[in-house]
Amino acid sequence: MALAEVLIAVLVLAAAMVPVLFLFPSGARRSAFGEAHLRAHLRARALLGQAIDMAVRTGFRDLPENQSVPASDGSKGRETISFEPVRGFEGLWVVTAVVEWAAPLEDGGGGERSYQLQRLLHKSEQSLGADWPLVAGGER
Amino acid sequence: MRALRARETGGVGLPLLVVLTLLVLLAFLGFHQLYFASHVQAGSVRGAWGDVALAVAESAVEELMHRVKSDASDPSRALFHQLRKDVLAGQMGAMPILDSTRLDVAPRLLEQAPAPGAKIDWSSAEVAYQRQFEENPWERFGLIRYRARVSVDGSPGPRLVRELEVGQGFKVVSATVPRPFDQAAVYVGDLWSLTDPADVNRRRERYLAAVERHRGWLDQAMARAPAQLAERYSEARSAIPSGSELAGRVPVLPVTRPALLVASGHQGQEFPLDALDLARKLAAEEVDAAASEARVQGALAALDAAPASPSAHETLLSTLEQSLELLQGLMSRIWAFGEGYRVVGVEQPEYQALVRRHAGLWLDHWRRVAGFVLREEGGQTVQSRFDSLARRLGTLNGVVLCESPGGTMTLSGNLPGKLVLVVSGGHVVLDGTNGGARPQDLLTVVVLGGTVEVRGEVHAALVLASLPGEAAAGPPDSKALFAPGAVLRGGLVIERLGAGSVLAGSLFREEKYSSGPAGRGALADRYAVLVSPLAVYRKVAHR
Repeated sequence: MALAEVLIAVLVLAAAMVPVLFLFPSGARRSAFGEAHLRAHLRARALLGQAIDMAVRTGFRDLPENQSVPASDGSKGRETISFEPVRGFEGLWVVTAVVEWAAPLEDGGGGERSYQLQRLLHKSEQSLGADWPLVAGGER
Repeated sequence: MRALRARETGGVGLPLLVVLTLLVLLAFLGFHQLYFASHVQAGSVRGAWGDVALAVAESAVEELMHRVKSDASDPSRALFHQLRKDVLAGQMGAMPILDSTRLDVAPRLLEQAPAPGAKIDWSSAEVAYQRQFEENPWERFGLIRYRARVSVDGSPGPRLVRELEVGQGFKVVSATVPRPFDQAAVYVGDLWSLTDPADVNRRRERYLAAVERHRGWLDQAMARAPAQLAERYSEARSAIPSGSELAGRVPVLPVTRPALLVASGHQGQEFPLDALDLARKLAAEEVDAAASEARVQGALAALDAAPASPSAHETLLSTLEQSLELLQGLMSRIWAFGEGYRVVGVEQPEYQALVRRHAGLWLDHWRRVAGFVLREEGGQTVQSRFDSLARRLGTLNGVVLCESPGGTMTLSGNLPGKLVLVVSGGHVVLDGTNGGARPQDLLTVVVLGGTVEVRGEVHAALVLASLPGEAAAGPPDSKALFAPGAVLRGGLVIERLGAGSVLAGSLFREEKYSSGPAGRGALADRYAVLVSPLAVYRKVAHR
């Protein structure tokens, strides 16, 4: 009798464990915005900040159109910063930070994943170096 | 009894109890994992989307800033003129910036935004307030406020909203000679530091007396002249104006003390600078006149020895004409000075009105309106810091104040832009500066309590003012050293000329240094609107 009770108890426990196991991290990896994306977002945000600091420090000179380097955490990925001048808006750039990484097998496997953040940046000293014509002489 | 109960129940309760306990624990674990883990994840996602919303808001503000800074320097845009209108004391000066708040670029970034449903709800830019620096209602400082609100889909939660507000300071400053001194080609706030008008008047009396002496000599000689020279003597006699006529033509300079000197002039008019110190100029040129008069006296002595000699008379006539011509030249200098310059004495209301405005030439004023203040720092001289700044910006506008530059600051080559360069203390050399200036370039060099050397042809307006008090390491007044043949194309404003100054060469008036006719408002394009590259504050609201 006691043995039968224990067996029943084990079966009930096993049945209850199954749905709980799916709630642990290996199940969460398959969501649309996972931990990897979150890491990529944080890294892209940091890259944007660094790029903007660099632009201000160098006086907006020699801004790279496309600068790609291996991922800073040593993984098989790449980080890219680019400054694209906006046509018709001299002194305004679109700054883009792209983080690329190789998706792990648990995430559906194979292929590159990428995450991109963009921001506009204007030349902060623009008004100090502006140019405009003068009315001739001192007349209105 | 106890043993009977245990046998009768057969131990059924214990496994059930264990299973129930474990089931409760598992349920708790499951609930925890389900709720908190997903909550953490959802929170992380919302945080990321919030960052994205903030980045879009920052982009919107960046585009607004770009547009405001561009339009503030474009005469074809309404904002250019709005920011250069006068704002009187007591007025708030707040105004919306309507024309410059359209967003063309930031909305394009929404397509690439990783956050779903990102939208720029609204954006705006306005001038929050403006205040005059001092008396000039066109020179002001103020604050521009930029705002943007961005929302993204925050599913499963409500929409995420980020509102960004950024404040940037700005200044509207004169990019030329300070008013009202920009109205003059030459302004000297203390005439007696420039020349001695009383001494000029004494010399004038001597010249008039000398002309009378020459007239007397001519009359004496004419009485003894041979008949064939009568007509010659008569012509020479009639060429000398009467004493009263001469005295009327050659003005007496006002000798009130203190007094100031002003000259307006037209575009391109020449002002010989050595003639500004009229007393010194006359003293130098009198040497020739004195020598010439001595030759007349020699000819008179020769005539006394041979009164009937025609050649002696010819010699006398010739030396008299030469001597009178030199006297005429000296008196013409006094006449030209009176024609070209106006002396304003302390008894005139205009004197007080002008002297009161000298404060606009002093260091305190420049410290308030300066866009950059350069000092020697970190082993870098003021000169090298200025050169770096000019190289970095390319075109320099507004006021750059160089404090105590130490050695010598040399400005050669071209400085494009509308720049007022203020140097307090120190030694400045202008050597062919801005010779290649474009018509829209303005360079005003202000020297406070220092020395300025002008060599070659310099296209600039020059302002010399004092640096009294603790700020002055040496004599408070500024000294000017013009090289022979130097040319200054612009204007000259001197508060008080320092001892040891040398004025040589010429000034040519450039009307573009005027910021507008007196009493008729200001020319907008003589004022620079400088928006600070740094934010005064930055606020982010989460909703």
